[in-house]
Formats: sequence, structure tokens, C-alpha cells
Amino acid sequence: MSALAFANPALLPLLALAAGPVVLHMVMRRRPRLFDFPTLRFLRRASTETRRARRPRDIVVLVLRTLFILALAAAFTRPQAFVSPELLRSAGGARDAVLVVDRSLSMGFNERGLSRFAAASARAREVLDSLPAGSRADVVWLDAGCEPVFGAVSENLPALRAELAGAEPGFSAAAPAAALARAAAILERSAAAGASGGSGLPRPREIYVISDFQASNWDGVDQREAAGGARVFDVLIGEDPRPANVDVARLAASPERPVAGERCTVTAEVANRSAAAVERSVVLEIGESRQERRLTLPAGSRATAEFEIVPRESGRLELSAVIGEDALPADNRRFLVLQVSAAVSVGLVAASGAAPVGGRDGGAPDGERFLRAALEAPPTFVSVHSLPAADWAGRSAEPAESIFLCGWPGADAAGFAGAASLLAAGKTLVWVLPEQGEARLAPDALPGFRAEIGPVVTGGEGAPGRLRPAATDDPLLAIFRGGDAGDLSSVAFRRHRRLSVEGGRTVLAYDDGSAALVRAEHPKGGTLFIWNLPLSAAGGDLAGSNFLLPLVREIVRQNRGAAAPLSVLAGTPASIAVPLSADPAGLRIEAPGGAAAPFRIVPGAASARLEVDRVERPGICRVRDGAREIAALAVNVPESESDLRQLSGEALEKAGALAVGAEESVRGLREGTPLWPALLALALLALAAENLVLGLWKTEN
Amino acid sequence: MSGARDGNGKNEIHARRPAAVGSEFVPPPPENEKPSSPLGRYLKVEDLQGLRNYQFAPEALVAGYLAGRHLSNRRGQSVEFSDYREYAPGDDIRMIDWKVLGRTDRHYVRLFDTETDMFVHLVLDSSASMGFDGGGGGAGAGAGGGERPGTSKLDYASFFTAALSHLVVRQGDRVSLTTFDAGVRRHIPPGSTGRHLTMLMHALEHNEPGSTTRVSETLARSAGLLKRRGILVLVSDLLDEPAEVFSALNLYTHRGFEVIIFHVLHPAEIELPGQGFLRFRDMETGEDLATDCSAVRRSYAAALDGHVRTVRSLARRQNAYYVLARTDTHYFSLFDRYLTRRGVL
Repeated sequence: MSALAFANPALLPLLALAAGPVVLHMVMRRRPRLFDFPTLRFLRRASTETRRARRPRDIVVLVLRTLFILALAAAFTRPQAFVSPELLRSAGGARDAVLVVDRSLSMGFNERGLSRFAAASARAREVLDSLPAGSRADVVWLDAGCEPVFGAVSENLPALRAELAGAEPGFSAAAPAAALARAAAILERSAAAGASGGSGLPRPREIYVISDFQASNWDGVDQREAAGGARVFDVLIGEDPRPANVDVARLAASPERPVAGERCTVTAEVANRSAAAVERSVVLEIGESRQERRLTLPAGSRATAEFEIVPRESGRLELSAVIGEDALPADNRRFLVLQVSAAVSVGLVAASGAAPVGGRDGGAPDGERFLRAALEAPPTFVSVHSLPAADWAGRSAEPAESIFLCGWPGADAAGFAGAASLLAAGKTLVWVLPEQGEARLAPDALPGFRAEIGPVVTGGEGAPGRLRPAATDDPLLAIFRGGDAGDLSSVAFRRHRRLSVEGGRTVLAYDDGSAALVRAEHPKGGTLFIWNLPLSAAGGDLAGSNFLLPLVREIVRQNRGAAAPLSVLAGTPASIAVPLSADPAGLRIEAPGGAAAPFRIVPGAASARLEVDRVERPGICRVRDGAREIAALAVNVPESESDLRQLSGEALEKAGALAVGAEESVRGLREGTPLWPALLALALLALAAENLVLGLWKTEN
Repeated sequence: MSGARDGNGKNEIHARRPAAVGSEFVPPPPENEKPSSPLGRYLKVEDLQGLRNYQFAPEALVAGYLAGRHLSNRRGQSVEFSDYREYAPGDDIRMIDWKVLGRTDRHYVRLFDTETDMFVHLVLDSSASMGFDGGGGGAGAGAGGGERPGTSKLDYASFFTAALSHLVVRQGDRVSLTTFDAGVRRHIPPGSTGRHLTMLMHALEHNEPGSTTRVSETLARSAGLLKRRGILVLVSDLLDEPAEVFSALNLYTHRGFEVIIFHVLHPAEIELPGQGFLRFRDMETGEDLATDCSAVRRSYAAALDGHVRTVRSLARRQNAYYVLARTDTHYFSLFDRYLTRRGVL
């Protein structure tokens, strides 16, 4: 709803002058001068010819004259147009304002040689300049941190202008709701202080959001609610609602934690956010090494470039994928830190109470001996550690990525809790069911997974002990499909347990339908395998077959557990693990760009963590202990910032804001648009048109 | 200036432009002003002096009762030899040319043109439209505006008629006067005496604009009144159908009348007065019409011009003289233009 105010309401009666031409017209129509004339017949003939053309012209002249007087009189009243009556009521007078200025990554987008942030900064200064005398203001940066300049509204507007002039766009994502809440809190405090706007009434509270209003960040944000009662003005920055941008959206490696010498696939995903197809070269940089792939990306599509690398040594490997620069250069490179290990650490547990199997060494229960042999047989990438049976889920299990739990009957609650904690930590737990005695899986051991472990079933020669793949597409069975890694159906079993599951995946099964190998995923990344494959000679021929070694090693290779994240987003907190052996006094975090970043040390049982409040720039963040680099972290830009599509003005108004475009005036929106120049122009136009019409008539006559 | 047809004196036409008379016509004095001339309001002493250099004569021969100054197409007894004709019984033997008889042995009689009086019939339109003086009059507030009422068409025509009458009488010719509007209002038969002129002046002075103009009907009815052929001078604004007017004039031209038409128009009538909306009332019918003068001025002028062109064309076709008489020019100029048209000046 719009509203109108008049700076000179006393002149409103002038509008009545508009009736003048109408009255004159009526009077002239009714009482023209009377003139005795002899040759009326010629006059009548001429009048008949011109009457049709003249009447509309008379009306045109009347309308133009009325319009002229009306517009002129209205101009003297100096009307101001407001988009809402609320604005009309609070026009003029001092106010408290918080400027939420977007300095997220997307504001670095260049349009016509000027970054969006530069435009936003200029508009913010315009807003400050337009505030009435006595107003107070503060600036809240719209990024991941949403930090204010003052923390409270202040009359020191020059300092805010200087701050705006010196600021630069960041690399983090915008958090609109948090920024609005921060601005609302600042205004709330100022209102609680009780300052008035000069008329005794509370000062109007206003929030000016100066942003490119990316749909990826702003969609769904209820500005009215987040502003807590303050009036919100949205100043839309950016001329193109869907600007062209191409970015490296993702950089990942598989496996995430490769072993030295292992082939590793690095995937760089490139997104084309523009409305036209583009071609880009993707370059993978590893130190001095470079690999390049050429991608063609249709409009609004994504494409993936794959690179094969083979780390030769253990340790950290720093990679980056880069594409050619465009109008938003910050998202054209993405970083990755790979932790290359010398071997996969596997824990092997011979649970206490478990019956020895095989009896040749008389000590290793339930096939632990066979599993160890399969894992350690050269060439191997596995480092096997025996875990104590009494505390197999404790601290000693922390380095292990996979744990083979042999002979555990599953009866004790402490064991289930330990298993659950290992799975929650992302580790792989292979429970080798005991070949004899009771075994039971607690119902709540794994969310959504239930297993009924039955008694041992024995049969005659060849029955019921043949295996078959139950999930042929399971990656674990991929190496067996060609037959080179052994024929699983050739292995004969003489006994096994009845096993049925709900919620998990049966990878291998017996002929009688009983599950032989079951996979169950933990919500936090861990994987539980239930191994119902007897390893003793009494149980079957598996231990002596060529099927055991590849099966065990594939389980270890494919289920190394989630790697600890070595990447954070710019503008977010970072936590970096360092060994306890590091000297706290010598620790230093070198942020991307070379500046030292402040941190605090959080000690842990096996390692300490260095926590940084926020890493601002993308790149590699390095932790040094003295001169030695002991850890590294990739800092990348948030992908959401690369999608530059903007919310429309209508969407912003629906969100509860009064929006202005790039060329519109905030002052005009807030203080109303003066209509007198337009009215004056209209009056002059009407006058000129009237003269033109009369001139044409005279020429004709 | 001397006339172009310089014969042996009988048919000489003299037309000298009066030196003291300008082209502008002086408006008549108000009605209550006492006439400055013993001949009435329309014939003043200064005008008489201006008129002394004019003589009014017809182009064609005229027939009259008394021997006068003008050539008649009647063969008569005068000194102007005309032709021979073979003698017929009854002819005056005094007219036999003996010299011809001696040469040819045949009897021929000599014929002479008769110099006779000229009859000038003045037909003056006295309809209501002739009362137009450019001021508009009317009942409307401020009628006439800032325009000063000038000479009415009837006044102007009366001045001219009076002067013409004076010229004719001064030459010893006979002049009649017929005033009309919808019909003949008054007819004064031809005469050539001073008393007759006084009677004409009196008639003109008491002549007022009447009702509607019916020129054609008046001319048709006047045929019986104008018995002797001569010069028919029609002074009118001719607000009638031109075809009907000239159809009526045919009666006269066929009888040997020389027809001269003085078409009297007021400048305000020609140029359409005023600006903006005015309500015009017809001076004869009383009908009114509200119109925008600025908008219709061009069309009006075209319509009036068409009317004048039609009248002029018809006059030429009937061998009648046509002179447009604007009331803002001195009526002396009408004599000049008439004589110029006739090739005298």
C-alpha cells in the first residue's frame, strides 16, 4: 500500500484552481458573444465542415489546460510518495540503524570493473549520508562470522564510513539469519537504553541489508522475523540476476587415506553456473607436478575431471585443482590435503573365553591365526596389531582403522558399548562369530540393524556348506567376478551358524539361506561385518582356500573408515590434531597467505588439538612445531557462494523487507519520493502541448 | 482625364479623378447630427465638388424622350449622320439625298442617329443585411466588442446612389430609384429635375434596413416599373441565389438594358470578425449559430469567395458589369473602377 504526504499542505486548496478551465469552458460554452451577421449561410456551411474536427480539439485543449493547472498546483504542495503508510509516519527525525553489509565471497564478483563489494560499500556510505542528523548506526558484516564494527549503535558515522571504505570482500559464506539477529540485538540494546528521536517517541529502528541476496543463502530467510521488529530495507547489489560463473565445486580423492604406493583417483568437479556452455581446462597441481584435463560444460551443468596419482611416500600430500579465472576468481581453485599412510592399521582381537580353533598352535581362538596370516602375507599394505582381549575397544584400538574381533560371544554389555563407540568413530569392525557356543547381538547395538544368530548347523559332505553371492553388486565381491581371485563356490563348509539379519546387507550366503557375511553401516560412518565363515578345518575348507586372503584384504582395503577431515571452509572454525610430542611453546599456525593465526590448544588423550576461531582465506593452513611442519589443513571456499543467482525484489518484499534495486534511492524509499519535479515537468509538458495544439489550429486557420 | 471615345462631342465621356478624394471612406455622421448639405445626408458639398469631374454615360445606346447628350439607337433628326436607306413611301422627302440621286438615279434618304436622354434606374437593396456595419450590434453582452461601428452597407450604398443620382441629373438625364428588400418597398419614377433629385435624396435619407433579401423576385416584379430601357444599376449585397438573380436580370438585358452590379460587402463580412467562440445571429432570419471564429475563418472565407466568384462569373456571362464595393473604400473609387473596367480610364 502506498501513501502520500505534502510538505506544504496549506497550499492544497490551490488544487481547486484546476476547476478554472472547466468552469471557463462551461461559461464560454453557455454564453458566447452575440454578433449580428449578414452572411450566416456561409458561416453555417463553414461551421458544419469544421465542427467535427473541432470538438475533440476543444476537449484536448481543456484537458491540457486543466492538467497544467492541476500539476502546477500540486507541485507547489510538494507531495512525497511513500511505499507504505508506516514509512510515512516515521519519516524524518533521528533513528537507530544497523547496516548489514555483505562481504561474503560472492561479493567479490566483478561487474563492469567494479566488485559487488565496492558497490555495496558505496551504497552503505550513501545510506549513512542519508540518515537524519542525530541518528546512530553500526555495521554488521554479513559473512560467516557476522561481526559488528562497534557492537552498539553510535553517532560516530565517520568511523563507520572509514571502516566501509577500507574493507574488502571475504571468502566465507553469508549467514543472513545470524547477521539479522545480530543487528536486531544491537538495535534492541539501543532501544532498551531509551533514546528518543527528538519528538519524545522511541527512535525508529532500521536495518539496511546491503547484499547481492544470493538465492542459495537467502531463500527461506524470514527477514521480518529475524529483524525482531526493526524495519528492514534491502539494498540489492548486482545488475545481472544470473551472472556467469564457473567454479571448482569439489576436490576429492579415493581412497581418502591412501597408502604409499597405492593408486589413488583424484576427482575435480567443475560447475558451470552460467546460462551458456563453456569450456575449461582443469589443472591438478601437486607440488611441481601438473596434470590437465579439458572439460566442456553445458549451461547450468557439472562435469568431473579424474586424475590418477600414486603417492610414493607416506606423509601429507597437498593438491589443488584450478581452472581459468573469471569474474569471481576466488572459487576457481580448491585445495586438498591427503594423509598418505605407510600401511593400513588393523587390530586383531582374540576375545577372552573364546575356544581355540584349529589347535595347531593351541592358542589362537576362532581363526585369529588364519586371519593374521592372510593379512600379513607379503606383499602387504597392512600393519596388524594385536589388541588386548580385555580392552579391545579402548585406547589401544584408536590407531586401528579396522578391527577383527575373533571369538567374541557378544554377551557382555561393555563389549557392545565398545563396539558401538568404534563404529561411531568410523572404524570397521569385523565380528568373527565363534564357531561354538552361544553368540548374540544386542538389539540396540547398531541403529536399525537386527541380527538373529542361531545355533551351529552341521550337515553331510557338501551340504549345506556352499557359498553363493547374495549381493552381486557389492564392491567387496568385485575382484571375484573375474575368477582370478578364487572361486567362492568351490569352498566347502561343514558347519555354520544360522544367521538372519534385518536392516543390513547380506554379502555372502549359504545354500540353505543362512547369511555367511553381512555388512551393516553405522550412521556415523563405521561398518560392521558379521563373519559367519568357519575358519577351522572342522568347519570347512576356507582357511586353506585361495579365497580367504583376497576376501580379508578387500575388507580391509575398502573399509578403512572415514578419514579425519583435513579440510575446512573459509570463515569457519578449524581444529587440527597434533601429536602430544609437539612443543606447545613452539607451535605456530600459519594461515593461508602466511599470516600467523591465533589458536588455543585443547589437549587430548592420544593427541592434542589446536583450535582456530576462524580461517579467513582459502589455501593450505600449516601447523609448525618450530621449523618442522607437523600438520596441514586445506581451507576451501563454500560452494554455496559460487551460485550467484539472486532473489528477486518481489521475493525480498515477501520476506518482509522494503527492497530497492541497484539504481534506486534508499533515501527515496525511506523519506518518500518527491513528486514535485515530475509534476512540474508534467505541467510544462501540458503547457507545451496546449501551445502546440493551438499553434496547429492557427496554422490551419 | 479625357474619355477614350472621343467623338464629335455628343458621346464624350468625361471621368476625372477628384484630387481631394482619398481612397478611404469617411464614416457618416451620427443620426442626430444635422446634415451639412441642403441635398441631405448622403450628398455633401465636398462630394459635389469631387463629382464635378465625373460624367456617367452608358456603354450602349439608350432611348429617351427628349434630345439629350446620349446616342440613341432610334433613328432621329439630329446632326449625326448614320446611314442611307432607299426611299419608301411616307418618308420625309426632305431627307432624300439629292446628290446620291444625281449620281445613281436612285432615291435614298439620309438617316441620322438621335441624341436622346439617358435613363438610369437605380435599384437599391434595403434589406436587413444591408444594415450590417461591422459592429455586430446584437443583444449579447459586449456585442461589438472593442470594434467601433462603422459605415453600414446601406449607408455606403446610399452615398453611392446619391452621388450617382446627382451625376445623372446634372447631365440632364433621367434617374429612377427603386428600394427593395423582400419586395419593392418604394419606386420613384425617372426624372431629371432638381426637385426630382431632392425627392430621391429624401427617399434615401428615410430609407431603413428592412427584412429579407429577395433580389431575384424584386427584379422580376420591377420589370413593369422600369419601362424605358437604359442603365440598370443594382446596388446590393446579393445575399440571394446568384443563379436566380441573374435569371431575373435576363429580363433586362434582353430588353437592351445595360446592367451594372455594385456588390456591396463590409470588410468585417469578408474577413469574419472576432476570436474564439461567438454566437452569430442572422440579420434577416434571426437564426443564430455558435461557432469558433478561429476554427471556421478559413472555411468561411472560402465559401464567401466562392459566392463572389460565382456572381462575377455569371455577370461576365451576361455582359453585365460587376464591381465589388467594399465599404472601407471611398465610393468615388467605384466610379473609377467602373470606368476602368469599361476602358475609359
